[in-house]
Amino acid sequence: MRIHPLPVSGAAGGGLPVAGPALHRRPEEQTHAKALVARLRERIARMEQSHQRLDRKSSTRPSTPWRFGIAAVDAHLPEQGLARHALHDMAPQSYGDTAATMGFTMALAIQRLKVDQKQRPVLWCRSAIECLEHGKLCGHGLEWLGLSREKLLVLSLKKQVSLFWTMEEALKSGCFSSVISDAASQHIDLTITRRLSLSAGEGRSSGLLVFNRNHEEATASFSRWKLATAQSPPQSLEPGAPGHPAWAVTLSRIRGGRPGNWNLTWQPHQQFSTRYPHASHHFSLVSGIFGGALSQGTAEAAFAPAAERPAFRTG
Amino acid sequence: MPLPPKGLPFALVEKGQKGLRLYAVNISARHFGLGLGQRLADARAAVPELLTEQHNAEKDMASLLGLASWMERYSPWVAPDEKDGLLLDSTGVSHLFGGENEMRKDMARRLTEYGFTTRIAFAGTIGAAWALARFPSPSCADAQSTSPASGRGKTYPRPLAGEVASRSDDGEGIQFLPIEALRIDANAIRTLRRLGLKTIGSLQALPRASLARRFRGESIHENVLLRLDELTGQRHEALNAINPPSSFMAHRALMEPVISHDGLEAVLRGLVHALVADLEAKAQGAIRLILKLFKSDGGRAQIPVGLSAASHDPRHILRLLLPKLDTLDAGFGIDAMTLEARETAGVVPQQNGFMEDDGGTSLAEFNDRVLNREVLGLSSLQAVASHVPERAERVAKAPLSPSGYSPNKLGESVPRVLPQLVGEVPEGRWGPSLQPRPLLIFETPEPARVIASVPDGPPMRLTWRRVTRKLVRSQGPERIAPEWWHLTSGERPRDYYHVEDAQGRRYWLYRDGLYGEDDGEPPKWFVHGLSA
Repeated sequence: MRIHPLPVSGAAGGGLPVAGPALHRRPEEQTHAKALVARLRERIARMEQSHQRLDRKSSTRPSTPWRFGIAAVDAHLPEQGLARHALHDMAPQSYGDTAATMGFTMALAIQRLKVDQKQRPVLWCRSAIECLEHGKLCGHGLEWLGLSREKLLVLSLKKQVSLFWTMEEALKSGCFSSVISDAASQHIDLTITRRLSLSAGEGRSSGLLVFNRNHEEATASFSRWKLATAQSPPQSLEPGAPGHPAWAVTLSRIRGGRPGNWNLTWQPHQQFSTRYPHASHHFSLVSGIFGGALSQGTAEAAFAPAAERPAFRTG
Repeated sequence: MPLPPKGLPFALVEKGQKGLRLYAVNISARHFGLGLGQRLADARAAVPELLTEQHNAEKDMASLLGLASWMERYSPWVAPDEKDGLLLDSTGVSHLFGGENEMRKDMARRLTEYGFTTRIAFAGTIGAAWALARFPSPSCADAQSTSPASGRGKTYPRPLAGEVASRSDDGEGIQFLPIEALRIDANAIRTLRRLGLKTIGSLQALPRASLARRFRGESIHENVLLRLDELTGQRHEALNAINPPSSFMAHRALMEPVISHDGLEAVLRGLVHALVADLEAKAQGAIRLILKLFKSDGGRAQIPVGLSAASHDPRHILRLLLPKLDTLDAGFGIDAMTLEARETAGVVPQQNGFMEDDGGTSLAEFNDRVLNREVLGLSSLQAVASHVPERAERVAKAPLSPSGYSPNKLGESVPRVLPQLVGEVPEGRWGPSLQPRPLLIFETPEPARVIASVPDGPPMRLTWRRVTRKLVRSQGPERIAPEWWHLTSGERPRDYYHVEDAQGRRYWLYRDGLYGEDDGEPPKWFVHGLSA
């Protein structure tokens, strides 16, 4: 674009030749300059608009926030929901809670996938030791939870160092909506989590670290969650059976939000709801009544006839 | 094996007919009049101070092949010839070295520096080059005749050290070569000599029909006419290169051996850009790359790199190659480098983002970087049509394409193997499993002790990994019968239960076998998975 030079006052008029042109411009010249500037500004604005139209990944575009969909929980999160391009920690309360932690992480990743504009897949970096200890991921189980197997990629790695390297590269590459990685608590420190959260910002993906045990040391994560198993709410049709996945969730730290704890449950795949796939796969709050005595009572009531039988055998 | 001291007669021996025989001799031994195929006892009698060493044919061949791959610096088309020769196709390459003469001099100089005695010949056909390199040109035939080379078997009088046969005008030069230079077997040679035909020229003078009638052997070594035609170029002979060259390669010969990492990196960058420009011009992408580094001490290092999807992105290729350069042992320096694209595939050129530079990498590129560092790359969990949980899923290489992850086109990227055997899932039929499955599943089910009412009551108490849990909820049984069509014996029907303990932890248990069946072992319990 060519910008025509402003006419200099001395050369234009027949008045006195003056040294400072800006101060001594004649009024009609000033209005001319203003009009020119206005025209240029308008042109720039028009160009910028077209840029935005072309730029699909523009961050200025409003996006659906990554939230739980429960008012009580979302009130604790910052305005925009969970930060999408950041690192989040998940740690089990105690040894046996690992499966619950992984389930909750998966549920969060599914929520994240729902709000991902490009529907990028989820990557889970498994450590070989964890696979032996707690089992490998089961695609059918994941589908039941609500993540289709086309949307999941798995990497199995031996060394913790490889896990960090891969997670960092995966986050940077920007190919995934979220990258989940098993993490051994003793290897995690502030530097590593800082690196990971920077890479998450670079690749615009979410990093989810799943610790293998309770982790108290400081990390650079956006939010920290602590998970324990919770008694599942009984199903109306089959009260003696385990219900939907349920967790006692503690949000111990979140930037710009408030900590809190809730009993949450996740609606998995519903057998007869294939026509309404969106009806399943969402969080809901468990009210206190399911948590303790009641469910236990119903379970025992269900087993009562069996208990009266004389013969028990161990196998 | 230490090198023999210079000037002393030395020979390699091998077991032959009636004891040890000389396999190879050095120059001074040759001056003493020792020849190939001679008995060691005779040689010792003539030259008592002769040093000998057992000949190792395998090592010899390995070293010849090593030298052959080193010779690829001159021409991409190299093949070992018998036990002691190399054949190079120098078509279109000699001008890179300043002509055939210069190329020959360069070869001779380098090989002599490494301690090889060479005789190099250029000719229009393989046969002529072979003959000229192995048989002295007529001018020095008299000098040669004094060496007592035994004409037995496949031994020929060896040329003297350091001799270089230049390219002779094919028609003229070969006329005076002995018939042994025809690569024919001993019987044919004997017959020809009996007939008084001693040179190739005298054979050429004969009518072709009579030659064809006389030597109509099955093998090429018996057929004199065919060999003669190969020599003169009337019959084509193919050269089987040890490494068939690719059409996409970039080569840099360096003035000075480079040993520093930075120096090598700079050369590599140049190579990658040269190769990529070639690939891009033909809309091809590399799938398999080989970087060959020629060391100044005669060794060669090779760095292979594989790509998940064809690519001609210099940034990506460099990122894969550079880390491998760190682990390289450059020895005394690298004096030439070649980058070849061994396998290529067409790629659709993709335009970058118009407004912004898309800094991200594709899934295939990410996978390459992982594979470059780790053993296994990205994998996906694929459903298999089986009810048995261990077989219901397999972990397979993720189907990747340049545009990304294309799981919908499973059949295209993953080779189909007999669907009825593997139980590949027909699309849309084996959707999300109707039965709930655990999140985590153990590779091998872990034995557990369970208290349950007989015969098929719900589990009440579970002891697993030495901890006893009281189970408060249970769902089941879900019976899974063994798949008789898999012909695995010893499998029993299983009853699966989803259970939850007092703390809310969920397990997926099964009972292997049924109660009340008297034959065989009592049923056993296993923990097969953990639910969220």
